[in-house]
Amino acid sequence: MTADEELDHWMRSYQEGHLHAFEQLYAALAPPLSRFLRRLAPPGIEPDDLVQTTFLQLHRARATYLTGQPVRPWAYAIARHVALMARRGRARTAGREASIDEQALEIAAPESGMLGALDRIALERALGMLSDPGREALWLHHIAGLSFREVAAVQGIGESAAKVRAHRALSSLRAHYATGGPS
Amino acid sequence: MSSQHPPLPPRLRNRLASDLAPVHPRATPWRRAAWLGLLCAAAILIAWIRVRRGGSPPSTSALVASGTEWLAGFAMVWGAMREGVPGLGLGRMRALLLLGLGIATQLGSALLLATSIGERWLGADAVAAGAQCAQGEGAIGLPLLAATTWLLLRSFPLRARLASALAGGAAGVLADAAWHLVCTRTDLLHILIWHLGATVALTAAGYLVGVYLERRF
Repeated sequence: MTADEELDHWMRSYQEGHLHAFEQLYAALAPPLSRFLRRLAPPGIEPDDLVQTTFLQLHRARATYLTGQPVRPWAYAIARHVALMARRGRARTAGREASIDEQALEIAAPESGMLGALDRIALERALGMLSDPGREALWLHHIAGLSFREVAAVQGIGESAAKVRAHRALSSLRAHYATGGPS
Repeated sequence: MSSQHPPLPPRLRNRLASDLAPVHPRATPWRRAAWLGLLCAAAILIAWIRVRRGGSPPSTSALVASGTEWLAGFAMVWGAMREGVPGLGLGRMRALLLLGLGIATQLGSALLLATSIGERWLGADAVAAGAQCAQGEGAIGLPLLAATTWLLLRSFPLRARLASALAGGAAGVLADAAWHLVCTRTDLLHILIWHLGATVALTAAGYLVGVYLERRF
């Protein structure tokens, strides 16, 4: 059984009302969602709170999961929505758009060989310089391992637009490193 | 997948344990749109039968325009239903394109009718005489919008304003597909003001419903 099939299995079981299935889903999805939300969380809001809110929203939306569809884009789309709502709320109260939080520079555990080869703090800083949509697309594809089709579904754009966003973000990152960006 | 997992926070566990009733997975967007599409097809059929009994059967152009509008409206409902499933939405640009395409289809149908059998009924008279058309379209469109809103409430639209505007536009286009078989006027000004106006009003109503829905999700 592949990871996606396993998630689908737990999701169906969760829809039938099994708490154990939710625990399995939480175990599989909480760490990557937490890392994803850490990059989207507005200043002053704990990413862990957003993770909890995301799972509460997942719970409300559990009937909308369609059997056989990949679980991760569904979950990431809800997480992204939670983060955007938090940002809007924050921007309303602060009267300005949220800027990059120092917490976003925390070191995340590497999930692929790509991260392991680079200085992670410098990479986090460089990622912080990218536009939000580009950084999101880059992160979802190259680090979370979603296909471009899935990235497009999460961001609500076309597949080719997702490719362009990730490619541009990667090019910016390369240019940043080529000019000796991280110091 | 199970040994080094983060434990489920107790607060989250308690919240869930009190509300863990089994749920039925929602039908696919396609199936949900099909129900509404069939409902509207029935309305078109009823309109067609009534008009035939009245002794003035609709022209071929009117039937073609009706069918085209039905297809456009159905696509819009399908788009709105997709927006109700996280990760399955069409995306902002495509949804707006679909909305524009639906309204353009209604406009195209109006032009088709006006050029093939159009009357020249311009001026204040054309404007004043058509209020009943907007009322008729509203009578068909508002229940359709209500039904679509109910379906959206049972799903989880992440871009609720867009999904709901799409639903409103669909209600307008589908209502026009049925109503212009009843309305015998084919002059462009009448159609633009009362028929297209009704669709624009329903789209705006849908958008406002979406503002309310957005607070819920």
